[in-house]
Amino acid sequence: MHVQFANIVVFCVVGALFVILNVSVVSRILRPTVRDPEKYETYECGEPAIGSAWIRFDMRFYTIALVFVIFAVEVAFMYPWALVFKQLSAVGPFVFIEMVVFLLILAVGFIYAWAKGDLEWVRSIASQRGGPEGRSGSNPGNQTDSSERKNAA
Amino acid sequence: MLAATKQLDTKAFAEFVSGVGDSVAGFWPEIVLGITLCAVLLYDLVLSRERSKNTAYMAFGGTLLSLALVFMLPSEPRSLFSGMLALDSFSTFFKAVILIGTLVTVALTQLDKENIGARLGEYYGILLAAVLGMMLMASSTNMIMIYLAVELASLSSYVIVAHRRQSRIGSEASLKYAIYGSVASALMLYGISLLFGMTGSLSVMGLADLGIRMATDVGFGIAVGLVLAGLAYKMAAFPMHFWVPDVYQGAPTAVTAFLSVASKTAAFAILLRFMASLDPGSATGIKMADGGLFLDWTSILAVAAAVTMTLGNLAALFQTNIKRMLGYSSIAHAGYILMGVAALEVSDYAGFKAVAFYLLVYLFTNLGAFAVVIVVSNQVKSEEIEAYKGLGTRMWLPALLLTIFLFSLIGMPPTAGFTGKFLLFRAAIDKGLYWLAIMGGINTAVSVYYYMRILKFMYLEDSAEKTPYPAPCLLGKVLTVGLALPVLLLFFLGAAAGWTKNLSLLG
Amino acid sequence: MSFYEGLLFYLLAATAVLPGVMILFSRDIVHAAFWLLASLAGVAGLYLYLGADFLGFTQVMIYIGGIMILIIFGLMVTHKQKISLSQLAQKRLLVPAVITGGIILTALLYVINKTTWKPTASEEMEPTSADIGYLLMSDYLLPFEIASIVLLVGLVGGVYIARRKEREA
Repeated sequence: MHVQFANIVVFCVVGALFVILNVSVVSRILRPTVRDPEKYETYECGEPAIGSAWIRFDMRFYTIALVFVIFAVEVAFMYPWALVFKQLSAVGPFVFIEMVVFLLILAVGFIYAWAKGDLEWVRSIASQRGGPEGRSGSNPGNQTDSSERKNAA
Repeated sequence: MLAATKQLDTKAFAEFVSGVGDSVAGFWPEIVLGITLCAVLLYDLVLSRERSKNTAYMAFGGTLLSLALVFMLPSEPRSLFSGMLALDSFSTFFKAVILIGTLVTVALTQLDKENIGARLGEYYGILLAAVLGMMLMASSTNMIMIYLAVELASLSSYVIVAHRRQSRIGSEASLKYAIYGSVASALMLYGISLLFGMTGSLSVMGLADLGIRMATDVGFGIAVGLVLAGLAYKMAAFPMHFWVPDVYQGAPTAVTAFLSVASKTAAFAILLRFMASLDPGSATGIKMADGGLFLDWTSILAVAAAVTMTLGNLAALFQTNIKRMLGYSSIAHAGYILMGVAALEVSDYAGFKAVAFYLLVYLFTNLGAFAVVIVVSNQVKSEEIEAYKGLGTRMWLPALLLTIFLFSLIGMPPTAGFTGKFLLFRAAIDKGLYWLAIMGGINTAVSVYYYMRILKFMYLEDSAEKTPYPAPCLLGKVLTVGLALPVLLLFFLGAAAGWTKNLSLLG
Repeated sequence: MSFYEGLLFYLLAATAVLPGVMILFSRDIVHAAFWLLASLAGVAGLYLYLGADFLGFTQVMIYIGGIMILIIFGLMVTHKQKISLSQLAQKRLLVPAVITGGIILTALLYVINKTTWKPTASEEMEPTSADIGYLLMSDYLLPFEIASIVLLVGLVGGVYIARRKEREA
């Protein structure tokens, strides 16, 4: 009954054993034992590490991870679709259209994130200053402008 | 090999495909909203800052078109997309209410621009997504669909609550809203999965048979209770009301107005559909193991109604911030409306219709009250009740209109709030829930105190400064007067208009 | 249940539960996150074992692939120094914690004991992905498309709020 996934289980077990054996058993037998403080450095023949690795990372990592998760969920929807696509497309292009609509809606989000520069790793000075997203709310000059206009009206 | 070799029913699929056109014909309002929301998001990317107001026009236009399409929907009730949605007069009515609320919200946002900021592409896009979710809530008959719709509306609401720039209180409100909201949605999902486990069906319409068949099952009571708890969160009813004051105060005022009417309306729409399917008239509820009735749904809803209105009114007594006060008042009103839900089926669904009518009245009243709050805070730069001192002479028009809206919230003639409350109380009395009607009466009396306190500040107390404020801008005048008119008119026409008289549910 | 099936089940169950115990005993929050990863993998294996292949693959792809990264990135962007879980745990919460845990354990044991478990006949289990695909394309077409709008809102909203916070900081 579980024959279908037996190959996956075998694969996982062999893979896990491969890693565990190599890292903890085989390497212990084969490696030379040198007790040198250099060996315990993070980068044995590079720069000495300064400070802790526990710094606060840039928020951009989070944005990228978020985009990644959203598209992982999208793929989860595409997988069952792909399984039935061949048979159902015999009926007509409807199955194809359904997925195209799904992808187009998500593409709006992707274009949004891309065009606003959230996926850019190094932001240019210009986008820092003007910003793709105008910040008139934070600009005191502009704010008094608008309230004056309102009073006049 | 994996499942690729499995033979699928292509014939049934061909049949389904040929029927999709019919379903789409009843789904145009939502499709228009969906296209508008994508268009607003994309248009904002290429828009120059000077013309950023265009997104507001787009959102307004899309909503207006959607509203027009709602009125043109085919009238014979049927089910769309293989039982996912119901197209009936009930859902059409609630969709119209939600869309009217959205139109006003877009205008309120423009009025409140100083607070919200000028660049609003994301704001309008996500607002429209919330509206789409709420419209789906009004018509869903499948529990997966209900969950998705609630989730769409909630997720979007969390984002627009956090919209206010450089505002820590806004971020805090959004975080609280999101955390409590995910708990509520998890409860609801758990309830839905239990119901699915018991029936193997996700249709709401099938619940009635189940309610009787499961006569001795405590699990059924718990499952329904969990779903109701999730809905109570969106309605701002006990025991899921605690998020309201913080979120209402922290959100931009236009968003607060939107949440207080649209979100509540959509949640009550689902609740009505759900409870009507459950048939509260027959003796269903949480039963004991020997089959005796432990608690029936009517009593559960009635108790929730009584506690909700009492908590809301008592807490509202001590508020100093007007948005916070209106937040507690919104909890209290959820209680009054729940009273109608408890008396749902009495005398040819009078309770049901009373709820629909009250939600319509509440839409105009509450949006109006918040519109005045925005108009006042544009001039006075404060949302504290203290700041309303002497407003009767300094800003006569907004003060007068606020008086009308507050009268309607109390339920005093000649405002529509009176008609609405009268219908709700009559339904409760017809049902025999005398104690609940008395509770409602006491609560109304209590609520007079804190609504009147604002009137006292406006008319009887003097502020140090006497010079009148400049008149509100044109948009402000049009909006506040435009919202006050239906509040008055519905009182004179309310009983005769009968819009809610012919509402019927599919199934 | 044949011997090998039983063996497989208990292996998978152990993969799900033992890392779960390790989460509780990790002193470092990042270690706990990695143990969670192992636990989720065990749950994915259980899904596959039960014939719910779609659920299993989704678990691997979204939870192990996506959510775990989000959790670890979340830890990375929120804290300035190493978090020690033993500092977070407070002695005064010990008594309420034990009482609450005890009540839940008792209730669970009671329910497990009271329930009459009906073992289903060991029937051939079909993979479910293709059926799910068929339903998504036909009866559940609308939820499928609405899901894409929910994802869109998640994407735009998340990016928008994150960007704003970044500017504030």
